[in-house]
Amino acid sequence: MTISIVGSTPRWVARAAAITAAGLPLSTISVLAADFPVQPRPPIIERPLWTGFYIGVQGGGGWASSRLVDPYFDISFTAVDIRSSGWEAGAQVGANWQFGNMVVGGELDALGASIKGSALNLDGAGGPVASGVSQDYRALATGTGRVGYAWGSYLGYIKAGVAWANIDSQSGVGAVGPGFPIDVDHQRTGLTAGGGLEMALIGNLSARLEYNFIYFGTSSINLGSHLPVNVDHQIHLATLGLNWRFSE
Amino acid sequence: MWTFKRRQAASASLATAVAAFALTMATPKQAAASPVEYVKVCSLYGADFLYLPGTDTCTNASQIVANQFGIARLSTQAATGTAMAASLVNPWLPDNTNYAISLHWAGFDGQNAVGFAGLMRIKGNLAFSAGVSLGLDHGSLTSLSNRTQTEFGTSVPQQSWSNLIMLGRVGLQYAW
Repeated sequence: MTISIVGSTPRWVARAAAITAAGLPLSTISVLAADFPVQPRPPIIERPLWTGFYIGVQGGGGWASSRLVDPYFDISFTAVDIRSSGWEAGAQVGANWQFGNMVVGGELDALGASIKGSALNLDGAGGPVASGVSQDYRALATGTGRVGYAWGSYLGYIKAGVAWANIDSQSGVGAVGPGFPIDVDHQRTGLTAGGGLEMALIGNLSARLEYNFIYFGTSSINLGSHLPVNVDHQIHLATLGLNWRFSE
Repeated sequence: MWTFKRRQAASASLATAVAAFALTMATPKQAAASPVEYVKVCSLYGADFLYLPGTDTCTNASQIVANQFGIARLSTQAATGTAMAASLVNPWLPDNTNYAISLHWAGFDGQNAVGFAGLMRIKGNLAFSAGVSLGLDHGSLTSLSNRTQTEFGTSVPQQSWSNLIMLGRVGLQYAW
């Protein structure tokens, strides 16, 4: 009689076989004992470096360009380009999952900003036409998905998603004189894309350098009168950030 | 560009329809022999109302233009909503799995949307289903109704819009 027990056989089958084998000659029992399945020790899986949730802070510089077209000639009769620059700072929360060298994740960013610019002495600025317009990007937020490549303690990634901004626009009417008497606060929603490089430091800290481009498509806003002007926004952000990764 | 021109044409025919309607409303009053004098004060209806010459009708041209922009925005929103609905594709939950996700892009009539949907097994064949979609609604319209000559040139009513719209969905799914 030949009884063979392979490694994958459930334990109770092995026991039943062993009990059955008790009634068999000694020589057979010793053969069976050698074939008993050994419960494999669970392999120790090392948690990948980037897997898990993280929070952090960031800050940096911002540059924006905005084109204003006024089809009513209420403010200007040629297109006005407004260049802005300034700083922004804020916080982020996100999560990563690492598969080998591949890292995928998502992140939410909220930034306070002061990115300001203006255009003065607009074409056709005579009579009731504006002496100038100015813009101030006061708050920015993005929600993005990230795909990255990890090697050593570095993580290079690209990101894309949606963006929100609070923009303060002001215009000054020539007849009123210098200064910007008309103040309009508006919200915009649009798209963002960017990339960065993150480096793991001691403990759970990591530092990163990131670039983001934010685009808000042409949209009409009321500036100076009930006649709207069409404005778009292109914003470039360069930030340095510091993240803290939560480990289990 | 094609949809843009089509919307221009649509708004032009709308303006014609409005004008035609105004004329039919005014004609019986003109034809009446009654000597009743209506107080011809269009400002009764608002600051921008003016008489259409030869009629008893007050009209507000800037309101007609504003309505055209309102309708044009609603029509791109409808197209964006269609793309958003199409972007929410429910994943499937095969045996021996507890979670499923799906990410899709969809486009319709020049509008784009991205949808993210997920399934989570609660117990047995009962699953929780949820989805969220983001659409980028954008468009532009040049009204054919009003032209104003200024010292700088012809002032033309033209508006653009570009916004994100969000759609959400939650539910339960049971299979047997």
